[in-house]
Amino acid sequence: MTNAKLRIQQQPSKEKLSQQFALIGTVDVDASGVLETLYVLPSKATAELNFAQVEWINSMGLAQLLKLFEHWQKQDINIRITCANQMVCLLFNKTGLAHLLADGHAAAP
Amino acid sequence: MLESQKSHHIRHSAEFSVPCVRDLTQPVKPITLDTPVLDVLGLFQTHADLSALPVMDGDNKYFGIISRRNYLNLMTRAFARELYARKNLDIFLESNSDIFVAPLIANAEDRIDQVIVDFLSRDPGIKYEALPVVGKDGIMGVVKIADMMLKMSQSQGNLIETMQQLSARLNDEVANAAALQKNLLRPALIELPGVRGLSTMITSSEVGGDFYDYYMVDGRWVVILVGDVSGHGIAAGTIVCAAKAGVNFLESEKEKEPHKILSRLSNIIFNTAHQSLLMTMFAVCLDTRTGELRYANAGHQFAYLYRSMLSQLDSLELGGLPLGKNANTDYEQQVTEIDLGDRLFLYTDSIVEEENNAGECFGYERLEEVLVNHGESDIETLNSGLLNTLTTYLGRSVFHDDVTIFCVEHFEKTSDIGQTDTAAKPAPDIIEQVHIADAFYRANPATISPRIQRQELIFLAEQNFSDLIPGLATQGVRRILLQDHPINQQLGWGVLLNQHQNKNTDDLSVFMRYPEQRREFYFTHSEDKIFIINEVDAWLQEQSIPNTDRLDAAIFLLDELIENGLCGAPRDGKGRPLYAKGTSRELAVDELLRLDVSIQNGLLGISLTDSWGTLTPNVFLNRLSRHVQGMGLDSGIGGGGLYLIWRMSDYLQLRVFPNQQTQVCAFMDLNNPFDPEADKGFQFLYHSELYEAINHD
Repeated sequence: MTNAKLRIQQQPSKEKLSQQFALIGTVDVDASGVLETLYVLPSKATAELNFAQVEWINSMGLAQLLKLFEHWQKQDINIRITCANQMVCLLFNKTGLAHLLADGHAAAP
Repeated sequence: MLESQKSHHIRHSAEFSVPCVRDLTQPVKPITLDTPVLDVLGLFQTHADLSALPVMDGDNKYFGIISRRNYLNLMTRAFARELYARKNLDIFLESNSDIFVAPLIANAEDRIDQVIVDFLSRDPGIKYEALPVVGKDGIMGVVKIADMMLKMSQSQGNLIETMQQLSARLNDEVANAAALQKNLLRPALIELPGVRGLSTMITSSEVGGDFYDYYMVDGRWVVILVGDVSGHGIAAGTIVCAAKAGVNFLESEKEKEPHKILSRLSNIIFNTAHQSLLMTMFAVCLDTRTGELRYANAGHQFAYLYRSMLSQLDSLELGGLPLGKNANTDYEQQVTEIDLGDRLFLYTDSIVEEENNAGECFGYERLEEVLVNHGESDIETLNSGLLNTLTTYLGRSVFHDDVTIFCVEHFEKTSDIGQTDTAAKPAPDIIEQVHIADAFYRANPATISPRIQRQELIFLAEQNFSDLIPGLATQGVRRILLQDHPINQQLGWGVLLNQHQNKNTDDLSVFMRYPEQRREFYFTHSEDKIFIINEVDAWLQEQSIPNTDRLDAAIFLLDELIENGLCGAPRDGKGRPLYAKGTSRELAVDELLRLDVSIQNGLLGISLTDSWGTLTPNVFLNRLSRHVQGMGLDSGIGGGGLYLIWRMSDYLQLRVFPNQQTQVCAFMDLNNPFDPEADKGFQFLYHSELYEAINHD
């Protein structure tokens, strides 16, 4: 476990309405400011979050993601999670976050 | 008292009556059709006040009426006198039948205002000057229209004067009734041991149908009642007075059970109003020593409970017949627990039912929004904020119905303030444990008796039970064990079942008496968290744990436990957190935060102990309950920690000594893979200062 602050790296995408982001570092209570940069996606877009480089996530981080996902849902944005490890998948399922995802679950690596 | 006397007594002193036709009737001897025409003329000419003459036929039955004006108009002409000089009325009739017509025949007992209305509808031009009057013996005379109209004018003047006197007297009486009703109410500012608050009552008429009352029993139990009589005004106010008299009696009897209070008040209202008026009422009783809240409802709006530590608004949903609907009504009673800082909000329906100009009700959503937004405001601000929001929404400050707002906060336990305890029972020396099996509960999902002390109640589940958690949580069940889980053998069944008797401050050493490895860490600063977690992580990796997913779960669990200890546990007297999540801070000199980790025979035990003792069964059960119902995580805020700690453990135990210590112990069976779908056993042991469970019978 490190105290690496969350960073977000946008990934290239072929489709105009599909945007991919890699989350890097720790998703905790301090992630809220960084996640706010994702609130501006166009409606009806598809947002894909890659969790491969997420080092740590806790319940406060999940609450920040929930806030983002609820905002995206109001904008009709499809949400996909990729490369989530077993623990992240479990947390998404147990806290109900997975229900907000386009395919109903977080994809493992 | 004779019936006539009673009637007089009830009629009071208002004197007014409308005259009837008999009073104005001019007695006139009728003439017949064989009367000479000139004789009739002579009668009119010699009797100036004779307005009309009734005419009878040959069988002495009423035939018609000759009015003075019509008759003289014709017969004062020379040609008419000459034409009918020697003729009787029957000949005169052949050419002048219209002269014999009257628009109506008045009954001697008719009220003149009714006759006038009838007459004007038939003869708006007032061509006729008199009407024949008939009594029980036939034609008794005539009544002049002018006399009736004159009398009506005089009568109206009398009426106005009488009404003014009556109105003045009624105003006095209503003002007296309003003052009396106001004096019946307890002070708006509620200041009782352990509870304080404010009530606001706005009546839409001088005398209202809303009601609130409260009283204390034995310096420990606070009884609160809020009610609403159907309608408002004097009649509703009378029922309020009857209810108040009943409450005074119940208070003198120290009655504190809400369901009994409602049942007895219902009888009083039933016998007072005989079902002509009903009253709704919500009754609660708070044990200010244990935080137990009992409630019952007689068709009233559900009370709200704002749980401060959770920033959550709960509705105390329970039904029941309105007071006075039937004789001998029984009411259901429910029980819940509240913590310090929690608020109870009761109100009458007009708040949600008042409509704005567009015909839209204020509604429950707006009310709940105000209650949540003002969750941390003082009660005065909440009350005024609610009224401001309501009047702004309505666009007016006058209400169509009475409005009552009643809000109290449980701010301290009475045992904390040195209250003399005359009613409290000591902790029983022999504890009789009660076990409830999940199969039995599913087949009989009735209310678990509040007489069973929750600390001694164990729910034994043979299979997953999380679907039952919301129901069990509302009944305060806080010890749930899975019968066949292998960890029970590792921890020891006997030890698990007797945890309520154990007041050891180190549960980890009780369950794991001979650990192969044990580490202990003391925190001095929040920044220690990462270092300590990494230290434990490295140490656990050295243990060659066969199931690596257990390691991830253990580290996650550690983070949540420590975060709770650093930022969740420190709270003020109202249960509000002192630090925001993620705050970097140094621990106070007298503040303890200790992490213990032990391994024994493939069993991992993690324990976090803080010196705050602020976690309550309510908060824990509520968190589990909300997550099970799919609404546990609060967007942007959190609320998942306790639930996920339970999910990641194979057995979770929480032991709290209020305001002294919280110890959370999580155990994992490292020999078996983690099963995320299996529910896990937990026990929350809450050691209040007097005894360890809720029971005030």
